[in-house]
Amino acid sequence: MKEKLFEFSYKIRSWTFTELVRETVERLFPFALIGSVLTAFRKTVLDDYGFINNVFDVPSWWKNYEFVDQYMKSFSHLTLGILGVLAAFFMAELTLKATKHPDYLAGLTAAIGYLLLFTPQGFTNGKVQLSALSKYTGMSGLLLGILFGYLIGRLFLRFVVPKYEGNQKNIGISVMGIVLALALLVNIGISQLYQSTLTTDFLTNISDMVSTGSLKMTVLGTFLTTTLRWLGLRGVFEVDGEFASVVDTTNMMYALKHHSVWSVPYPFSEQSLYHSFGVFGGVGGILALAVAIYWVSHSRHDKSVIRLSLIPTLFGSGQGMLVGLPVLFNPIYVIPFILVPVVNVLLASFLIMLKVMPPAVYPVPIATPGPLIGFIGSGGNWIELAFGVGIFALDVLIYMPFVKLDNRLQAKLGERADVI
Amino acid sequence: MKKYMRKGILIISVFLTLGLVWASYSWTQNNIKELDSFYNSKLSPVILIPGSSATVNRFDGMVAQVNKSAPKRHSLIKVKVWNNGQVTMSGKKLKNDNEPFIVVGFENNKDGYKNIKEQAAMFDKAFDVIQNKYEFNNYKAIGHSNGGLIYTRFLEQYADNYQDIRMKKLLTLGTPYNFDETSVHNKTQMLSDFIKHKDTLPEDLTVYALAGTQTYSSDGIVPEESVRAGKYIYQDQVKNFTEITVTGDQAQHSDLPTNKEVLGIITQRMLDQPQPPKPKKDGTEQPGDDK
Repeated sequence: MKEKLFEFSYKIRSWTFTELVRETVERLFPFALIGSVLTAFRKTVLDDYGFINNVFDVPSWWKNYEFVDQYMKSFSHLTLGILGVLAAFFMAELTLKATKHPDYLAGLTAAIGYLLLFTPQGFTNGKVQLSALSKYTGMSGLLLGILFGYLIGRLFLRFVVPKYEGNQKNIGISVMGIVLALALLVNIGISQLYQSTLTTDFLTNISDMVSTGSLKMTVLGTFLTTTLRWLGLRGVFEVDGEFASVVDTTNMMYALKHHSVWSVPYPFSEQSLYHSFGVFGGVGGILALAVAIYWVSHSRHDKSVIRLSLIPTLFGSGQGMLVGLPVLFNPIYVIPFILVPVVNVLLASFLIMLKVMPPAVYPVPIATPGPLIGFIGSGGNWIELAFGVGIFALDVLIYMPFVKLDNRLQAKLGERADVI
Repeated sequence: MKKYMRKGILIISVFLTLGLVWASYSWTQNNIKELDSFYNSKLSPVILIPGSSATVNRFDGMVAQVNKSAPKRHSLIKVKVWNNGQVTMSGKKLKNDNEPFIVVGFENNKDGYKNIKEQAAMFDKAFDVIQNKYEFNNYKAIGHSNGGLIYTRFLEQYADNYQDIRMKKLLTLGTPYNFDETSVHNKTQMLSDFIKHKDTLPEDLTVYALAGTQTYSSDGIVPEESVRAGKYIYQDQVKNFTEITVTGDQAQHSDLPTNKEVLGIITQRMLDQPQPPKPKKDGTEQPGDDK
């Protein structure tokens, strides 16, 4: 089993495409890191609903925090908010790099084309606004950005690069023009379609379905969310930020009415299971991976990534670590990345079922460190806290063999100098 | 040296962690206490019933108008009761919105006393569902046209089943308490019944009965006298009973929900007045928001 996974990963890692993806993601690290440091600080200290802001009552001793908050938001827009665009840029550049005919147009065409493609409806009013960056230009657009960048890179390889010999460099301009025009048309087409058919999007439907508060649906939602995140997409539990979930509201009102959290109507809700134990320490239990790597890995690079991105990850902004460690799109880690949250959720639901620990139903500030989410949500239940610590240790153990396997793989890949 | 530094870092981290745990504990305990005393009274939906032959979409325009000037956007939730007793719901409550507008409509939306009785029973069913879902302990009511009749019947016949839940205010818009009769001397069966049971009406309720006018005696559909008949039911029964007459542009029966004066009354009299501002938070998702 282990050897099969090893062979399989080795095979995949030997493809040029995977290597391009890996390099692209690596280049995103500085942006993701700076963005996540700023976002973590902004969310936990400056945001009115943030952890430090609430727990240490920031508004009482820092008068101008809201002012700073507004400015910091722009920072996060222009770092984390454009990760998808940057992915398109780097991917297109790197695709051409191998040919020794790097073309500065390819990367920019990919980046601008991608922006045009995913700028939301506001664009059809005739205005492009940078503040209108959509979900797909940020972290959730990683996969789409990479694919788009690759496509543009291949287009340039096919149509532009061969013409260099004949000194027809300007052919790149027509390719760029066609790509941008098509991107714009597709954008307009999609928004027209949305306006005329009133279709609710597919993801929202699934998200409604898995948020009904039953154990089965919560486990399914956990599984889908982490799988989608591993693929660099948006998870089903991350769709409805704007609305109070009916299940959560009902739970909280019940708890307030009866002055007890033990017998709420939906004990296996998204909040009590997924948010309290599933994403605990970042999506996919990335924090546990960090500890496992620190413990058994030989990779100095990975360790320095962890040192740099540990604190923002603790405060709920794991983008730096997610991009910096070779986790996303890495077949070796797909199993633990999905398994860890699901195991956490199942174990937690088991304890809740046995009434060993209560479900978490009370409001939790945003950017609360993972292990404290369940603790705060249950109104300060100590078993919940102890369980959080225990389950974290288990997560580290789950990740451990995979880290060792990844080390072996790195060593084997390192022997082959031709794979860069 | 390096060893000492490591030890130092370790000890500091342990203390920091304990500090965070302790701070979290006291925060959540305090927060729950605060929620306990406020949340229930804070969540105070506005429940609306449209008139005959109107659907749950009847108040879309009104809510949109109210939201234009509201400091916080109100959610719009629609509840429909089908003839087979099934209750369906659409729309969601926005976070931080304590006054969602909930419209209750009926598959059977016909006119007539028999139907009003049926609709009041259906409303009772919907109310139970809504209350179980949102667990509020007080609410405000708006009834347009026959919607006001349904509310009156509900207050007299069903509200007793919800002892802990208080209707704070009721606004009826062009409600024909005496159906089409132009004189109270000809009391309909319905009005007689309403008057007969008026002592079951809640004593702490504030009622506004609003009449529109197109001519001197009617809003184009309902006779003004019929709207005025409301006083024989509510006056001296509830805490306050106020009659309001709206004239001028858009005072026709069907226009009442989006009439400017009516919107003013809703914002100023029906809705809770904004507290000294707890700042901002637009609730929208930021692009960098995924964890």
